[in-house]
Amino acid sequence: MTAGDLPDGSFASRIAADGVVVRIPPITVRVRSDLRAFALQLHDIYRDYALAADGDVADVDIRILRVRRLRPWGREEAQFIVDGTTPFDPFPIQHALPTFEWGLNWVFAQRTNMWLLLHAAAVERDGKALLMPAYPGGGKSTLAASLASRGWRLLSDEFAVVTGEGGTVLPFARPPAIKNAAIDVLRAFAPEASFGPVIPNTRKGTIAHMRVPRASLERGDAGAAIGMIVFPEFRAGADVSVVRVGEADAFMRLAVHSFNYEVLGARGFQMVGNLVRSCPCHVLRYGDLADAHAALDSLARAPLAA
Amino acid sequence: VNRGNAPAELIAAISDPGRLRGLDAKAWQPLLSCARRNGVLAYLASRADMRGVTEDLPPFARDALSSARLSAARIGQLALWELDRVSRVLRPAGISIVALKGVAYLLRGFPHASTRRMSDIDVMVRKELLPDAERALRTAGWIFANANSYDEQYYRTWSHELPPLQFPDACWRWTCTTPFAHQPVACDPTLRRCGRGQNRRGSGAFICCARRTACCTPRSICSSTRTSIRAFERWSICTSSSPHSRSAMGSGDGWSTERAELGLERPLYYALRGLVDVLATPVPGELMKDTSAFGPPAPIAAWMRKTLATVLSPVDPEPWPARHRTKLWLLYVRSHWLRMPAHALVPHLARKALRRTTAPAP
Repeated sequence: MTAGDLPDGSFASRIAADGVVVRIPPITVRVRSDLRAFALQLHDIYRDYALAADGDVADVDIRILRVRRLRPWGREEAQFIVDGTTPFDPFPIQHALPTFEWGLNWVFAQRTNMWLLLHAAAVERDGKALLMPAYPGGGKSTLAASLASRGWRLLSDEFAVVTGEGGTVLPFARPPAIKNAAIDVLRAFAPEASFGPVIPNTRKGTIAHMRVPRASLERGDAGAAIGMIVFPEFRAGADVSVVRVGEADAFMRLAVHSFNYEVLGARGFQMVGNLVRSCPCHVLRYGDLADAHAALDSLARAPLAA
Repeated sequence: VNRGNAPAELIAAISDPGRLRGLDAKAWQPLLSCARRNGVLAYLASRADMRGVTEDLPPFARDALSSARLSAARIGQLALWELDRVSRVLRPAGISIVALKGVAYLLRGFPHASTRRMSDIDVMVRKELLPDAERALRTAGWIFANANSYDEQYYRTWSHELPPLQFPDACWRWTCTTPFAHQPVACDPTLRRCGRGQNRRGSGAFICCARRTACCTPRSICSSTRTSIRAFERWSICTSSSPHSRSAMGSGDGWSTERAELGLERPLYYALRGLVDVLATPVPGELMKDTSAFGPPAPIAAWMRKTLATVLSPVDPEPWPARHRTKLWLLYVRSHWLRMPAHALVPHLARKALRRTTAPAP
């Protein structure tokens, strides 16, 4: 049963009562909220996600609750609560959806040290995964979302969840958060892509979440072998270029882009080392999505040792 | 297990980690949530490891426990690094520091010490060296974290410490304190010995002896402005250290004079009874009897015992009941009462309350 199998009203009622438990592989998330508008937005962008079965353990228990203040003046605010703690300041209730997404990222990064977590988008095609680690603003979410609209399986727009000894990436596919000018760029590039509400004035500007294509969710929590690492660098108006990165440089870049490299200690070192030794690493500079796609297609076709 | 039983289950699991083997998936969820809520998941994980039960647990539980331990260990590592940075600044200025609380447990190597979810670092310097320490640290780039002039004065006057310091962009706030004015004997001997002592693990900081490190914990439990199960987790870390467990409870030869000098008698009275009430720890009857004279008058003792048992017990992740919040507030007031007179306390509390209601929205 997916979230979309529940009517809007039923989904919102459940969220307001005991909550809805959604499988977002590799974890399960329980969500509760007294904000009906947020519940409907969540229902809309998570409609293709499976609901947990009886006996599933929710790894994360999140509540988004309206803040009740003595002061009648001022804006309406809500609070992000996880396991009874409030790690963030209250936020405007209109920002509930992006705050839920950011909060879930934060919780995931805090709790899942059984995996190496890279700040990277990840997509897969023909059984081979492409990791795209980047700083905020590097364009990884937009690039990953655009690739997902062209036949790649979206694994994540934010986390590359590396498991085993560093050869496999697990999916953590959530609606990519597209920001500011990239929203119109992506709408033009992928007219068939479907978006949630456009939410202005968040701390990262205007945000719209792209629904994850159903095809990307069909394989559930199945991982993919990591075949290539590309560090995307978006520059408005720039020509496309691809530069091979040496192992040492790639190692340093990956370590910097990891959420828990230091936490994992020697294991983190081994995993990052295995990653850079096992697959080619490149920097991709681009100013246009079509050019970037062409460059990535070319890299994907190239022999591994190229 | 329904949610209402989670705190009791957590206590039972901490006391006897072997119980974890018998939990099913539905029981694990509220237990993990409750342990996270109370900041003791890594501690529970460490106790489970020590009893050898971790390997018998379901994969999701093993992952949750080991993940929490890794995070806590990393925090401990960062804390020791920060301590080293601070001591490198102060040492050339001729200022020795004594590590307290969490970092002291780490340096002392107490079992489970690396499971503490530390959020700050406490060190102590001789009172007359506090201005020099402040000057050296501020010159080196540390700044006061979010302290306005009123708060700054409060820390200096009533807490006998510098306002929390933080290096820009560093994750640590830390407190540089001095021996409390009303407990002059408590720490001065330690400080006097610093010059002859050995620093620990190259940290550049000194630590009190194991017994003193352990047995001073009840005082911070009973005078803290934020009281929770983590306070007992702290003491349990100390009392788990077998060679010192009895002295950490205030027992042992030659200890009675020192515990009086350190001002530990009343805190020991409360903390031992809290151990019995909350954790069902088998405290020796003779020790309970020995400390019974340290309590306040009977009605106050009864109220405090009940109140501490409430607020030291783990809380459920759901919103706390109003009476719980009220008791916490009363203990918050008490903790300030212990350090400031009424004429200063009333305006201080009024100012805090006003600030809470008028704080600008973020």
